[in-house]
Amino acid sequence: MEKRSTFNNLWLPYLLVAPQIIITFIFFLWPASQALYQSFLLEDAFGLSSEFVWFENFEELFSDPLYLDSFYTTVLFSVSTTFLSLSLSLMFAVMADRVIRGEMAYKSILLWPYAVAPAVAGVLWMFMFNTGNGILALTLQSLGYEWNHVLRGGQAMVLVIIAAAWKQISYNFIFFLAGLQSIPKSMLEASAIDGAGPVKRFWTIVFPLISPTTFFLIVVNVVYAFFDTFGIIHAVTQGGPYKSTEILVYKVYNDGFVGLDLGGSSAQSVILMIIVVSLTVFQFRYIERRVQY
Amino acid sequence: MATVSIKNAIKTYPGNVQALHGISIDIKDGELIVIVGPSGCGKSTMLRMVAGLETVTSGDIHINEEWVNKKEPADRDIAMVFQNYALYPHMSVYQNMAYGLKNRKIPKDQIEQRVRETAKILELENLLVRKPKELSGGQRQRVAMGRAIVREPKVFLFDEPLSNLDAKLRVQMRLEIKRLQERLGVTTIYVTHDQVEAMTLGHRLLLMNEGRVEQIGTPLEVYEKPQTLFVAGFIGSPSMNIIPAVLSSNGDLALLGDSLSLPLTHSENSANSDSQVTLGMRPEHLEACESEKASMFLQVEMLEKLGADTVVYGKLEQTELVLTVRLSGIHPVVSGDRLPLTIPSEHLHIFEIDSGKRLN
Amino acid sequence: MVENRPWLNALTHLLLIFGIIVVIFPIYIALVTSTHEAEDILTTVQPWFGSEMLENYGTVLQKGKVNASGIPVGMMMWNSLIMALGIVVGKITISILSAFAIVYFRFPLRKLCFWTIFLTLMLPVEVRILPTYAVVANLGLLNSYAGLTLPLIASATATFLFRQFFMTVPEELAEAARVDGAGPMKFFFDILLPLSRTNLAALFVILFIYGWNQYLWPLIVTTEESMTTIVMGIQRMLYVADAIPEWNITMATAILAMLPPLLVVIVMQRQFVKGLVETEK
Ligand SMILES: Nc1ncnc2c1ncn2[C@@H]1O[C@H](COP(=O)(O)OP(=O)(O)OP(=O)(O)O)[C@@H](O)[C@H]1O
Ligand SMILES: [Mg+2]
Repeated sequence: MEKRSTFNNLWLPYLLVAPQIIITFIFFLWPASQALYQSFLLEDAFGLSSEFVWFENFEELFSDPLYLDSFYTTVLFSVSTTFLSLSLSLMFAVMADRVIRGEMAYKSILLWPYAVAPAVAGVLWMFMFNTGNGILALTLQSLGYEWNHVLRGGQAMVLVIIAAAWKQISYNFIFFLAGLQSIPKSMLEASAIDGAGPVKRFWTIVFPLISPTTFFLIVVNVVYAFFDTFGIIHAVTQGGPYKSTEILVYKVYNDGFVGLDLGGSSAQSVILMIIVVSLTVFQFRYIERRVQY
Repeated sequence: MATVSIKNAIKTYPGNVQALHGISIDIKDGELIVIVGPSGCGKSTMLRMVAGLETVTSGDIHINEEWVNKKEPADRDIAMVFQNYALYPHMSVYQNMAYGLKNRKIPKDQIEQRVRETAKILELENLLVRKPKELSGGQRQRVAMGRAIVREPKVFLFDEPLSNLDAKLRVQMRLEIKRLQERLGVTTIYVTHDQVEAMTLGHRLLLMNEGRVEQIGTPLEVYEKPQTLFVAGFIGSPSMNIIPAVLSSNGDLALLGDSLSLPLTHSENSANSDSQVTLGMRPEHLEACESEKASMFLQVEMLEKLGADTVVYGKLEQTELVLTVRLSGIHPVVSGDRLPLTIPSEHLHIFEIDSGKRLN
Repeated sequence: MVENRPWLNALTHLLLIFGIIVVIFPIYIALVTSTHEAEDILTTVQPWFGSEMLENYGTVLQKGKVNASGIPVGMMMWNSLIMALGIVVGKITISILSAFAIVYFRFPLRKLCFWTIFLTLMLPVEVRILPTYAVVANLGLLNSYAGLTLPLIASATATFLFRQFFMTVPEELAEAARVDGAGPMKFFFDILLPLSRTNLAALFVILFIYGWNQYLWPLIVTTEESMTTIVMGIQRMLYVADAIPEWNITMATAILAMLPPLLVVIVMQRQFVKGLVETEK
């Protein structure tokens, strides 16, 4: 797709793209290439000299059990978050699609979590699970279950998953609802006439038809869980206890800014970049949202 | 007021798509030229090159003796009416019409006066505050014309301006455009693929096919003496009967099939005798007659009684040639009849087989 | 579809009400907590609003949490607002201009520009924090609004959104404008920009939320407390060794942190949904 009629001007188009290109260079491409470059360097303890070490930083990373643990933690975290959020959203969307009265009211409120920053969402849930005065922690205690996510890694993980999934409900809900509403009503009517009940109808017709949406949302949610949830982790658990919730982005930050391990942190950044790039490419290739060019 | 001259205009689009293969025409001051031809033949391309919206690959375009190949559309003093009108959706009718004048730094009171005058001519006075989406198709069309007229340009360019209207409105607007053009006397190039529009509007027609000029002439010339087989087939409705024929050795008979012949007017014939040709006969020029005067018989297969005319379809006797005949009035012929036909020899069109050029 | 199954209708509403509760409950608890005195929520849950609302919010806005740096939350909100608006205006401006150039001009480096912009899609700030921090530090932009916003305003999605929209604008509109004597910038301001209104509104909502909710970036480029934004400010309130944990203050801050974006979502719901769906195209 190209415009057939365009304006002729030698310098104006350059002037128009300049701000974006300059910013992209200074704050995106240059830093990204720096990360790439530094990932091949080893700095001495005082940061005075550095040495080109090829893939040593990467080798070290992949032989570091802490890093591998963090990888595992990230996968567990993103898969759970994605699954939890998608199933809740899909259920709400299917219901909202069915409902005739009060649709707007339900819909409006289900959009709210999108407005809440991940870190704030984390704080809200953290408070409810706070040992001693959190409503959910106290409820669990009265049921005989001890909740203390400050000490127990598994519970900390559950907490951040819940907060992360909650925050993402709105987004998934909107896309599922849009997907559901684009299913031709005649198709559902036809199958209803064929005697399929609502449940059967959902699994045999609706669910396959919205599978492109589902697929797209899975990718988006994994990306979200990988990167946008930094705020939740940082505010709620700080990666703890005992690194049980230390996901990869948090580790990059922690090793780079707190541990000041430049080479290692850069190598981690590079790995993360490779992950985003693959996910993005995957999304563009296998989901019809292609950029035409 | 202006003349427009196009010399050997060639257009090659990126990707080596050659849309025009050398078009030339001289348009007189105040003339309305209709460019007509089938879809994709390059009409819009030609018009847009005159407008300055498309670069000229080679050739020259002059407006009022001035070479304009490299000029911006705005500097050519032309106005254009687009097929989809291209009204600015967020501007009122008034603003749409005033926009071009404002860009030319014309004083406000003068703009106001010109817009009101034009609105009056086009009966848009009551619609000036409306937005395009609050107008009917016909009204939008009028606003698009108003936007062109208000500029008082040297040349009007129309690109299928009526094709988005329903049939009735199209006829009405056609008359209106004709009247306006005569009244304003502005040189006009009008693109259409509708031959009726072309015939009724144009002072002269430029018939195009596949990027080439087929014929330039007045509507009557084009109808009576189509210079090519393409023109013959394109102009006229129902379209001309085209059948293969052979010129007899003495050069005065066209043989249809094996056993039929038609007398030809000797003097007009410039072809070699005994050669294969293509013969054209307009349905309306075939006449029903008494059997003894007939030069051919039609095996009637189907009829369309339109009231004013009767259109008869059938096979020419003893041949497999299919013919359309248009008889005026309500004719008593019925399906299965054997209809005796004749045709005055001046209405026979003979074309060379290979080139499609007219021979007589 | 006409379908009457009473139990199904009941279940539908039941599940949706459950959804509403899931969404609202955490916010409700925070709001209730923020209206009590710190002592009243030390060991118990308060189910209903207390009487300290004005008092607590007044304290928060003017003094913040005294034990944790004591920066007034009002000031944090101001910083967040500037950052959010800076990101909104900056992002929209540079992307609409570059989309305009890419769609309406042919120039030799056009494809290269397009792909350069496309790359930014793949480089979220989280993966390049260290070197980006170094760049911003070298430019002397730490603890400045420019440092907070500039690295976040290059965006492929906004550029693509505008590009997508410009492609749907009929060709003839630009041609009519050219015939009418409008140059490129005149066409841009007189015609393209007014036609982009709904897209601008949709992007405004999405980008405002995006900007306001930034966390990691402000966390590392602001070391001066006067530059703290509210979302990161909350985190600082969590980890102080209070004599009495002031959950009421923290929750009041949380409520204030979500209020502006929430209001935008509620007031501009239609544009919000449009923006969300369109930017993903
Ligand atoms: N921008 C372009 N790039 C490449 N080829 C083009 C372009 N515009 C037109 N063409 C080609 O040039 C030829 C002439 O196109 P043009 O639009 O002038 O036809 P037209 O006679 O106006 O047809 P229609 O009656 O359908 O409007 C066509 O074959 C078309 O495919
Ligand atoms: Mg055309």
